[in-house]
Amino acid sequence: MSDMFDPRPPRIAERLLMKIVGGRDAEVIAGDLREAYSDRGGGRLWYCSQVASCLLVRLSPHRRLVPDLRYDLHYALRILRRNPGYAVAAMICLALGIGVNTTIFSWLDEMYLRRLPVPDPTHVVSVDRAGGPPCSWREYRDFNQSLSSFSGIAALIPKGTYMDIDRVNDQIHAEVVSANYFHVLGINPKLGRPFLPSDDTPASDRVVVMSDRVWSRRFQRDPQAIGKLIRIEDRWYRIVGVAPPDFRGASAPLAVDAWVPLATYPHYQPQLAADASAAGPGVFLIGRLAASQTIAQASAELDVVDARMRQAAPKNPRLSIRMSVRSIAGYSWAEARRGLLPVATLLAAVAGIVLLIACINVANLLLSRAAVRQREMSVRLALGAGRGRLIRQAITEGLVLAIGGAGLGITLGFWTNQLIGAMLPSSNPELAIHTLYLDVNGRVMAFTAAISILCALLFSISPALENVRADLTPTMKGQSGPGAGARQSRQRDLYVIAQVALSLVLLIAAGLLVRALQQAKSTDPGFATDNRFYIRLFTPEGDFTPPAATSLYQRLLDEARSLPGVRDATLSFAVFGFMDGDCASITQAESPRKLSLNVVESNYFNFVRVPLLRGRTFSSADRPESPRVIIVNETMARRWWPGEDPIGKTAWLGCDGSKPRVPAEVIGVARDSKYGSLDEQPRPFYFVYWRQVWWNGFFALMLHTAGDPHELAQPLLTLARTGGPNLRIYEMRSLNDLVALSLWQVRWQAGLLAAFSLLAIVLATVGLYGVVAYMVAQRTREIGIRMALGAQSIDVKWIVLGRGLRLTTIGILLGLVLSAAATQLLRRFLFGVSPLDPAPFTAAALAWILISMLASYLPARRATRVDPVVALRYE
Amino acid sequence: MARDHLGEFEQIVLLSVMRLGEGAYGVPIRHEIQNRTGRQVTVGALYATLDRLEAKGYLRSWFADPTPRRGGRSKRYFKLLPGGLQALTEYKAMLDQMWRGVRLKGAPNV
Repeated sequence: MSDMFDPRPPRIAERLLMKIVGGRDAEVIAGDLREAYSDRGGGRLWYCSQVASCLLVRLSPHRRLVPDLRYDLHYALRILRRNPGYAVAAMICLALGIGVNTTIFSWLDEMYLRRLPVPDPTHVVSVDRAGGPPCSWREYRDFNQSLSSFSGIAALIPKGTYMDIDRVNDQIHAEVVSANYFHVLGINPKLGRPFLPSDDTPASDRVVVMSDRVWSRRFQRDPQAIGKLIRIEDRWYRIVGVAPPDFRGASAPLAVDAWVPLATYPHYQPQLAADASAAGPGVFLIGRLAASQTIAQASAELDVVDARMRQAAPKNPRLSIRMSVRSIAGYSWAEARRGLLPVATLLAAVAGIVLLIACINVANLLLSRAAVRQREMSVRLALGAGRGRLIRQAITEGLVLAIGGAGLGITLGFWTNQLIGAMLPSSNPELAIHTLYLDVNGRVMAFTAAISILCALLFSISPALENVRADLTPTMKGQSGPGAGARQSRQRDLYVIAQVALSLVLLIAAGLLVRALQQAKSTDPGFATDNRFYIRLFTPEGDFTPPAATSLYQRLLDEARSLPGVRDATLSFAVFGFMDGDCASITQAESPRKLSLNVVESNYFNFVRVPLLRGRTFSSADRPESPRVIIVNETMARRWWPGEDPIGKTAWLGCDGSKPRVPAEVIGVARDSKYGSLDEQPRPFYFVYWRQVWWNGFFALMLHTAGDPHELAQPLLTLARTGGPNLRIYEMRSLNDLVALSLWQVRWQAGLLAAFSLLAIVLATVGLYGVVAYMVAQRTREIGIRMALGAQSIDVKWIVLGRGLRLTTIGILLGLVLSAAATQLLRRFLFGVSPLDPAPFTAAALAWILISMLASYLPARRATRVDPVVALRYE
Repeated sequence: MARDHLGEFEQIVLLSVMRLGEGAYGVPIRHEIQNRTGRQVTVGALYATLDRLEAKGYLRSWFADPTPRRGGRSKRYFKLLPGGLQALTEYKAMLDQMWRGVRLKGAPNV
């Protein structure tokens, strides 16, 4: 779309021009611009800036804004230089607001907007079926060449895998791809070669292109790395290329470290080599649209392919979802995009509130400046300056402040980003968003510029209007006009009230999230976690036959039980938050439902204190060749066989397709527990026996210890290492740590919101202090008279404190009402805590009353020090 | 205000209208200024100045000649009026007066 020259200039800009300038003038200018636009061969930015120049001129009353702007700017800079204290204060306030927003936006940018770092990224699209793979490898190979709307389509499967370089075992993310992958994306390796068409057959040599990151970490950027052999999933691969530094694959948020051809990938190669027409695995597709083709055209063409596939396999439920084509922007993993949306919205809203509070603060500051500069403004008015001109001057000053604030804010953004990043868990394979980084690209800059201008308008308009309302005569005489003072102080009062109300909303939201965290922490996961420790192991298929792996695990289990300080040990495929899914149905004919399962040792239920409510656990009599048995949880028993005894019932296991479905007899019912997260609803779940069903080689070896479970870490690791170099060792953790880790998101949200609300409170407190202090300064004379007439210092203190408290109280009431509405939106983050939970509401209100007392105390004390003689001398 | 006082940019615009003669409308005027002075001129600033010069009676303008290349929109042609010519002449004479006998270091003698 963008690489082709479009003779028509941007429509919005042109329409804006016609609308605002209007008439014949607009006709002529639009004609001129169109002519010049096609002369210079495009340039949307240029066009927009030209239109902007016309609008600026048009907005100026004398149509002389552009030359005047320079004077305004010059004058603004001079004024700011003369009052650096006030300028710095305003800029710091703005920097806080803008910095927070820049960070949050750059994060949203990465999640939802950023394109792949490839040539012409707008033409790169992904194809999927509701987040799942759209077709099999075979189907891809069949239709790949026949589509005219694509200049190329590549297949890929993102994989979490491991890689050995010089006996160091790394867990990495890899993309298993078709050989045309780099060609379709338009990426040239910075070293070596991309894949060749000859890499696309099962008989080819195994080759790998690795990331710049691995190259520099493991090979110290040695060009000799090309041609070396490394092991991926226990097979030897020859390094043929190194990807460019900024390219991290097409599976964001995962950062990919290795690309390998699918045809020779160990999981698929045997099948593809044995049978040329084998379906192969399901693959994701990324394609590059052919020149002048649109997504709609590509979509229509794929619909035809889809219909053909459905004809070939009418029963396949996978095909019932339509293939969808979308342009790749942000995370390509749709689930991650959707899953993070609520958090993203929350953060954006909170950042917006902080910015609003910062703007109000600056407006307040400018208003007090306006009071000081009333005389200057009156003089300029008297000398014939137009009121519009003065307003423009004020806005220019605001813009200068905003630009300074934006500059500081971007710097600050880096820090905020580090901070937010540091609060994320360092290793959470499912989330993998620790790749978060602030990339100040054009979009982020544009966003920052836009909010800065918005801020400048927000905070400078009302003081600007105040300026020009000045009544000439009294102000020039050095008195303040009677109306102006009252109006100004009313306005400042409103500002303070708004600030208190807004920061109260943030405070209450933070409080609710902290409550939610407490609530979540006290949730019973339904299984024992104290003194339980596990290490996760994996026996890759290539190195271990199932019998060899079984006997290895049996030996490890036996030896673990005899470690000193160990009460018991067990094996479990799933650990909390990590499990596998399968399908099952009650009858063979029925279409299977999806549900999760665990593969366990027979003592598992006793080990984690999940009682069997009915029936028995697995026993050594349940052998691979004997009838299949399963244990179901309460929810499954209740939903699948309502009102019946589930023991002895049959469930058909397995999804359609890959493996034949097998009947299994229910032999026991286990109590429900939490499997994936603490806030999940009860869900059907079943268990199979690891001696009866070989799953895939993953097991957590779990220990129940007498003392501190962490003391067993070293002996357990030593034990696991006896499994030899081919036994993969993953994380070790106590079950308590694992459950705590699952709460990272709540903890992170609560932490962020607490930090933001703290920032908001600091800003609002400064605002309140300013207003009260200003009031004391204004009423010095009155206070002097009162004291001369016998008022005690406590009375004077109360005048001041009372003012602060009155404003705060109104702010609090308003804030409570706002919060009651706003916290409804938080419901999904709250782990069942009511959005109207009284504790945070009360605590936040009390906290604000305390803060307001503190903020007004200093000015109050100053008021009592007023010497009546000095105060009255001015009369 | 001194009515017949030309600003620097006004002068440049008047001169380029004069140089272009018959074909003086927005696009070539901007080209002329950019090519000769190296200054980037926005349309907004240019038309604001042209309007002002017309209001002062130095220029006159008329609409004509819509072409498809312009999306069928008409051009606005400008022509220098005697008043404009006079203002330019006065300005030049004034500058010449000021320059007379002044020699810049390293510059050729005028």
